[in-house]
Amino acid sequence: MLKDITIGQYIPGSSPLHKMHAPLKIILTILYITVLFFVDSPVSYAIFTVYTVALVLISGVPLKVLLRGVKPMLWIFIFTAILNVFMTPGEIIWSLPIFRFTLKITNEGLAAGVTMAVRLLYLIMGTSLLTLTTSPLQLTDGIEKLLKPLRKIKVPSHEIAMMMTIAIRFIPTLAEETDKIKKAQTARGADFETGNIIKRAKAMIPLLVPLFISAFRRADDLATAMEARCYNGGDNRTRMKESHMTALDVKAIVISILAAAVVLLAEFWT
Amino acid sequence: MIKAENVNYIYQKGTPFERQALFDINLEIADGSLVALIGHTGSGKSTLIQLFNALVKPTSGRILVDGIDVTAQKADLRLIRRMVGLVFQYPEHQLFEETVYKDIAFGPTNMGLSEKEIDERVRKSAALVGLKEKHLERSPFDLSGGQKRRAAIAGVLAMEPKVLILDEPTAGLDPKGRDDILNTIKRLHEENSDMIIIFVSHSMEDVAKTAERVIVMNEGRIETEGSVAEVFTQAERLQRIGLNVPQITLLTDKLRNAGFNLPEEIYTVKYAAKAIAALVGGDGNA
Ligand SMILES: Nc1ncnc2c1ncn2[C@@H]1O[C@H](COP(=O)(O)OP(=O)(O)O)[C@@H](O)[C@H]1O
Ligand SMILES: [Mg+2]
Repeated sequence: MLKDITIGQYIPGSSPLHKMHAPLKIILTILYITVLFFVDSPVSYAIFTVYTVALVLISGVPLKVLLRGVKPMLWIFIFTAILNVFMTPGEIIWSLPIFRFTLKITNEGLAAGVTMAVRLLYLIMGTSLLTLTTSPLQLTDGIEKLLKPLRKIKVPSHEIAMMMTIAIRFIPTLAEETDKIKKAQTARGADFETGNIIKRAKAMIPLLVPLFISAFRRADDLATAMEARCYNGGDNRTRMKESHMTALDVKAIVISILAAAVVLLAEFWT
Repeated sequence: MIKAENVNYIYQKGTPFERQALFDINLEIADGSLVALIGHTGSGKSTLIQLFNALVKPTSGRILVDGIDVTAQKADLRLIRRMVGLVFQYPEHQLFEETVYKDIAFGPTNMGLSEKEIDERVRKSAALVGLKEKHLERSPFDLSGGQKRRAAIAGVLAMEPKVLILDEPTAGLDPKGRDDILNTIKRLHEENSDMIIIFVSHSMEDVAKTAERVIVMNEGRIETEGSVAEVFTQAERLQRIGLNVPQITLLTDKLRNAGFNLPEEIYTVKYAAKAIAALVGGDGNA
């Protein structure tokens, strides 16, 4: 269901991860992902795992919630793993001839499959940790701050951030609306579940038309409301709550860089 | 007849957002009744009526419509949807066709009726809600708010349900729009002696003017039910759960307490006028 979308599914809390300065948290998440792509050897994987587990524990986000974000990606997972397992050349440990092909599993393939799956898992967990511990508002605020230098080359950073804020804000509203319209049309005998692709695509019309109309109506109302309150973009705009770097953020920088250094050292010196 | 037996409903069961919306609902609504469902926002009214046509299934308990168990695992959903017509809140938001005619025809077409029968039903139900022939060929999006609402109601009526349920049918309409809808409900009730009509409302005035029976919900339970007179004489109880009795009832209560000899069960302006007129000597044409 649409309700399972985890983007912006912020879980309020008071862990150090929650309290971090949002732009910094985004940068450190990018660092985390970058390091992840260099990790290859078992030793560095082990260190990286310890680091990830520590982050999860510190965040206080229940593992169940974290893994829910992984579920929709399960097929990509399996597909990548299978491709890697069967397609990597190397020392054959199992083979099955089918007609003129031979299906074979190699030592290297098995390793590559597992590595790839774990890497994807950590990738999703890392980014989920960011969105689960940062409220959508802080997140877009962070993105705006990071994009600010690009204003010099005319990138509308405030507008981009505002658009993202609005989009994220309206995901649950639209999900609810979809649910309601779907029920209303079902009550009139509409059938969204059975039939071939063409029939199903046609069945979407009674759902999509009202949904678009309502989205446009909402956009219109919102624009009017913003204009009525004299909203006019990012120039000279200040915030009610300015967030600043604290001692906690300095610690976070030090720990992240240390962790990255250790992992990379383990990767390249062993 | 609609019968609910020990019905419970829990939203998002098994998640941290779990929330029980209905607690042990037991209910019987006889054929031909015109029932108002009232209650504070969040008391579970919309949830309850969605159970009646199997849009959602209860967490536990049973609901029978005309003896058919709509909560059964293998219930015939097509039959149930045909039997129980549900008009959602702000039904005009569900309009989607190019013309009003086509939109009203959506339900009957899904039922697989012949073209001739569909045509008859569309015209009949449009007339029932007070839409004119000239409206039928217009785009539903060119109608006024009240007309849109009526077109959407006609779309459900065209399925000729035995039970008609309307969720807050007068919400957001101007006084004339409200009266049009309420009069349509009354007329439907008079012309279809078997049809059960249930409407959700927040306005005690509307309920007093239109309904025969009232079901009062509070925090997922049925607080009380009975005839309009029975329910509205329990002013204190209603006020305790955040509802009101019609203002005219409050007025006549005050008059009675001040020593005027007025009957207790006054809940429409018309009746109040008559009673007061009888007291002071006049014809009571308010
Ligand atoms: N889709 C939903 N998911 C979770 N909770 C819901 C949902 N719909 C309604 N609820 C909750 O169930 C309760 C009853 O809601 P509802 O039946 O809509 O009440 P009413 O129509 O009387 O205002 C409310 O507390 C509401 O928050
Ligand atoms: Mg409701």
